[in-house]
Amino acid sequence: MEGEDTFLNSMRDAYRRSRESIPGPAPAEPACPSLPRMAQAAADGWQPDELAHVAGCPRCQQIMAAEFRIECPGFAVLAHFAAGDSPFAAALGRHLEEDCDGRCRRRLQSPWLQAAAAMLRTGTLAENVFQESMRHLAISDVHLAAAPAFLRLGGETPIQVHAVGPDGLIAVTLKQEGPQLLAYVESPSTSLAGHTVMVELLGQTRQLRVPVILRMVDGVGAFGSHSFGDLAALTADLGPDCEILAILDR
Amino acid sequence: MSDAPILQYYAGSDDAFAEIYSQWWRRLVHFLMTLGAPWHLAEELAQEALYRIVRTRVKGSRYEPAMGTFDGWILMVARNLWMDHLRRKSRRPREETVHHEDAVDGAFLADAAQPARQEADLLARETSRRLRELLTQLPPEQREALILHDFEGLSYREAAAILDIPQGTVVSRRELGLSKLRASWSEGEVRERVAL
Repeated sequence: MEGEDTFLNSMRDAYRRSRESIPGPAPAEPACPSLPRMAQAAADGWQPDELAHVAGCPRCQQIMAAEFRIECPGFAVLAHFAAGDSPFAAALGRHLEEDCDGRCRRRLQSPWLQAAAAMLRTGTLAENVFQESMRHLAISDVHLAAAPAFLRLGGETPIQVHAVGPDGLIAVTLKQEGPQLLAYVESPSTSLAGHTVMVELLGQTRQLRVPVILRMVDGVGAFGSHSFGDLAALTADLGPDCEILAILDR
Repeated sequence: MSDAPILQYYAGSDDAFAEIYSQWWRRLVHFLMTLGAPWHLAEELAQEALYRIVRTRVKGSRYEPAMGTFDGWILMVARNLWMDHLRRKSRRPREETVHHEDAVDGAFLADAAQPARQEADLLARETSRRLRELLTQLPPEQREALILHDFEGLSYREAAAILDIPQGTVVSRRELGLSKLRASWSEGEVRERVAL
């Protein structure tokens, strides 16, 4: 009978040999960006030659799928996917199929995103104009699932979400008032009075889209609102999780 | 492995990451395979673990020595990816599965094409194959405790942090696993002697 140390040492030796017999990684193609470069590019932007390579490289697509598993892609990436010209198509397809909790699928159904994708496809929307438009985009998750129970309890305001666009020009608040769900859009800029903000509620099964026209308020900003109607009916219609999106319509 | 390369990588040295990659690739693939991942999946998860490490220089929580050893950290990342995969798979029961040993043998068959490997000691290879086989027969919680502590060299404290269980539970699971491994190993040796 072997002593415990002898047995363990022989097992450790076997484990080490087993590890050493694992094949090394498949060699990357010369044009494959390094992992550090991919992480940097995913955060800061890609060079055109990198994108051209990544689009057709299974290894790079696999790494991008890992990136999307860590952090869902933004609207720009989704819009190009919807437009059919995404360099990350395979990675995104996999993300949508395997990893995403539904948010990206909901966003792909956004009427605004689909319209942008159609214009990107036909070349009627320039990339820089599209990127600029997203500075006026405010978006937030909304969990409608708890609403009916809160409604039965009465007196509570369980739903109140607020989102501000990157440039601070557009803010949207979704708020439950009694049995109704209302969206309030505001801007600190009086120059936006008379402009339209498109407000969308993106549900799992349905998307609602309404135009909200901003009015001047006491010279301090611009304001508009819309009632989406009965919250219980909306919850049944949209599903328990949705997002509210507001974007300046220009 | 020391934590110097990751700290050098954070300081801006991509060469330091190349060192991490070359030192950890086989170790992560093998670790994931012994946890139960088929070979190709183990490679993919190892790649993702290394990408996640890389990405922390740009975004997310960086490794810090106060968190424990770098070995413990990277093994935790890999193990979490494996657990996430199992959770996703449980939501998609029709996904094709590959038997662990088939996959391991597939790895070695592929590897046999490399001339250097052809000279490997057959007996040692058979011992390694038997160890992998017996490890996969252990209950997963005992297997993990044994692998992390005895084969990957982590302390009980580090293994407990990775498995998110008390240190004493790691000790008892590891002892149970080791006892079963030893019994199965002896049983196999007796069978071989009888067969001879």
